[in-house]
Amino acid sequence: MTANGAVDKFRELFETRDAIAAEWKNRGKKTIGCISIYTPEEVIYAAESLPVGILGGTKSFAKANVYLPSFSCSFICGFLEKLLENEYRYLDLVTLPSLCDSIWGFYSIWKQISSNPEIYLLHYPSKRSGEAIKYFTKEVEKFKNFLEKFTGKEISKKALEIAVDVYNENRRLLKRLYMLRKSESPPIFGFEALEVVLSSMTTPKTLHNELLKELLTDLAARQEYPEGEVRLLISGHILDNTDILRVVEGAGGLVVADDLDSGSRYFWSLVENTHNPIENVSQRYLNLPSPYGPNVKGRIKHLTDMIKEFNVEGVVFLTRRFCDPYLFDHPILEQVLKQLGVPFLHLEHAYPLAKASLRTRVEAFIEMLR
Amino acid sequence: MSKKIRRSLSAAREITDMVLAHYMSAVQAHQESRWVAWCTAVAPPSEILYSMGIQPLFPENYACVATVMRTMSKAFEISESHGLSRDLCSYARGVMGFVLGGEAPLGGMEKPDILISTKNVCLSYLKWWQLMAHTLQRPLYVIDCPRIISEIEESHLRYVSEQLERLVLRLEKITGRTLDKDKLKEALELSSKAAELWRRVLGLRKARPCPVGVTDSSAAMFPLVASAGTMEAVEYYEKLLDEVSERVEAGTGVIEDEKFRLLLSGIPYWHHLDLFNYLKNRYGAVFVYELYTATWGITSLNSTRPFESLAFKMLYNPTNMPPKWAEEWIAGIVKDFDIDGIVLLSSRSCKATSINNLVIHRVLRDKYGIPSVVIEADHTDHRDYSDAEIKAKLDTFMEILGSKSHMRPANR
Ligand code: SF4
Ligand code: SF4
Repeated sequence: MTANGAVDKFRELFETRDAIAAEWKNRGKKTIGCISIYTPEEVIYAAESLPVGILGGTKSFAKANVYLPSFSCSFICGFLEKLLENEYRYLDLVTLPSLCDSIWGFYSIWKQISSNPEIYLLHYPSKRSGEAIKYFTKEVEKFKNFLEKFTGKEISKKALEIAVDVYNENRRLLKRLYMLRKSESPPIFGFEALEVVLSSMTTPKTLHNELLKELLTDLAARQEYPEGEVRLLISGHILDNTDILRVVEGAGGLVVADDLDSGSRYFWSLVENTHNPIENVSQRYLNLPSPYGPNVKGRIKHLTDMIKEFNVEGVVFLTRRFCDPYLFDHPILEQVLKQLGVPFLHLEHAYPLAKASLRTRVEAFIEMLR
Repeated sequence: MSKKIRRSLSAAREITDMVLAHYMSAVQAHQESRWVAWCTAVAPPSEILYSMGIQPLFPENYACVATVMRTMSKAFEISESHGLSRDLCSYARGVMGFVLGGEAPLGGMEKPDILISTKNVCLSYLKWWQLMAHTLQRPLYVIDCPRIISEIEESHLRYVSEQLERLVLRLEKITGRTLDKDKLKEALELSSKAAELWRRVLGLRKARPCPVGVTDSSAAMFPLVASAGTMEAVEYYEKLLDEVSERVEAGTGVIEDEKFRLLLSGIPYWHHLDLFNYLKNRYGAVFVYELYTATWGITSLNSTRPFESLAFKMLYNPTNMPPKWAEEWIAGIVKDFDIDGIVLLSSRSCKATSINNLVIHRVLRDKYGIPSVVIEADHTDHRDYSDAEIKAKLDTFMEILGSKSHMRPANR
């Protein structure tokens, strides 16, 4: 398994994300931590601020474990650890959509122990009815008003329209990249695609768009194609580092598609129009396929569409231990795949990763698919 | 020095029969062609349902009853074999085991015609309900409740009450029964009355010695969970209030020689309720208040504005309120009930009531000087329970409390 140079830039962006954000802040602008996929980033962008995707981190959780119990998910532990380690000094604000009990728990804990950075909780409804759409739109509007005060920048309709354009462009480019993976010999590894998407969550979007265009040109000229014997799809939450995918692809799998928060779900759908940007943006975010919505249908559709479109031979479910939303959906998704006759492997994981046992299980799975 | 253990309240002993009758009433509802709804237990719209002849059942309560009856083991195995992780809410895992065919106590829960979730406590209220609805192939109605970050606002109330009104429309359409406004008004009045009586019962526990212990109070909250909005609940709490008042007048306590007054936070470990007796017998420690039992009946209702009032009740519960509110609520109880220490029961599978216990422990200590201890186990799943370890932790805590009480003025 060798990586080609084409995505090096994205890897570098991702690895230096803290420095990039700090630099942004030094220019007198605000940086706002968020759970990228469910936070209407366009509003932050329109306030001339940098949305920085929060990622769990994978080191020890020694500091976080003073406050969080042993049964907390690694995402929240990792985020808290990084805050307590002062590695998020550059964040002016954190925006959290109210997705699960861990996030609400984190909110309560942070409120009790610190006020820097401040946290803004955005209600993310579990319904898609008329009232829920109206309520969420109001929430986003309130968030906009808050940001205007917080940043001292007025957020005009025009600015929102521009933001939507920039974000939609990023989404289209990422989708074009993914489409290349439909081919019989995809031009990039799954772990590389993940680096591209992760870097989109932490890099100023206009810069990311430029680099994506270059990447698409480079890939057209790519000579060397990654090798893999089995076409796999990875399904799960935010995968915040490439370790697991490297294990999977090191064992002979080739990840050609995903159903991840830090993957296709982040960019698959566009903001359709901008008659009323706040409303249009809100609707897009509310309609994402996720485990926080009114039913599993949206997730099933996205997952099965991806399986078909990308000619997937096997699915690897990656679930963080203690992650209730994903664990609850799991039996239903398993059922769906059984009915479709698509083989799958379920890996519940915690950090530090037990790489050796992961590898053994992945190898056995790939062996079975060969 | 005698530490004679009093018999439990006679009103608490009646609960067994009421539980049986409750589960039977759903069977009866179906015989009478009335609907059965499976509802979440914290502030469900029972008042609406009872007014429409719909019988609510509460899977959380069922899980708790099944645990006390020691009939959960097989159910856990079944749900695990269906791919449900052991890290998930053990109420959910247990009930899913029954839903998926496990042998269920009390003849099982009558199957629902609809499932209703208030989504005001935890994510399991959404995901567990979705899973049940999916498995049973029944419709689910979710009332989406926003978390409160400072105060309950007009917009919160409007959002929730609109959803309640839509629920009524939906129920009317599918059941063909219309909601009688007068009946609803009456149900709200009864519910409010029962809640008020319950608060008065809990208030009487300020007495020394405390007249009601945690086991009785955990049983006696049942009618408020299951029958809010009925006359039956009001009558029950009237009787309970009489009995407890008599105890206070007679100076009868859970134990005569009350050494420590404790506050319980979290869900009791239903499979080891004897833990409370351990503290009582060994240390003369009595639980005089539980945040858990107080959650039901925490607020009154205004029957002239039924939907808004029910919406308020849904939003106003301790897990949905902001940390600052919870902290002050606890500190207030400690003062009013003259509490010596707090036992924070964490459940590994219930983040909603447990994830911030380590921080609450610190805040109570540093800001209020209130001692507390965090215990970790599971509220329903008995399999990893370590009795010795938990008792050892409580022993240490009681010793600390004991050494503090020596330093207290003698009039205490
Ligand atoms: S969705 Fe899962 S992993 Fe993410 S914060 Fe919630 S519990 Fe943790
Ligand atoms: S509050 Fe806890 S125990 Fe109750 S349903 Fe939610 S997760 Fe389960």
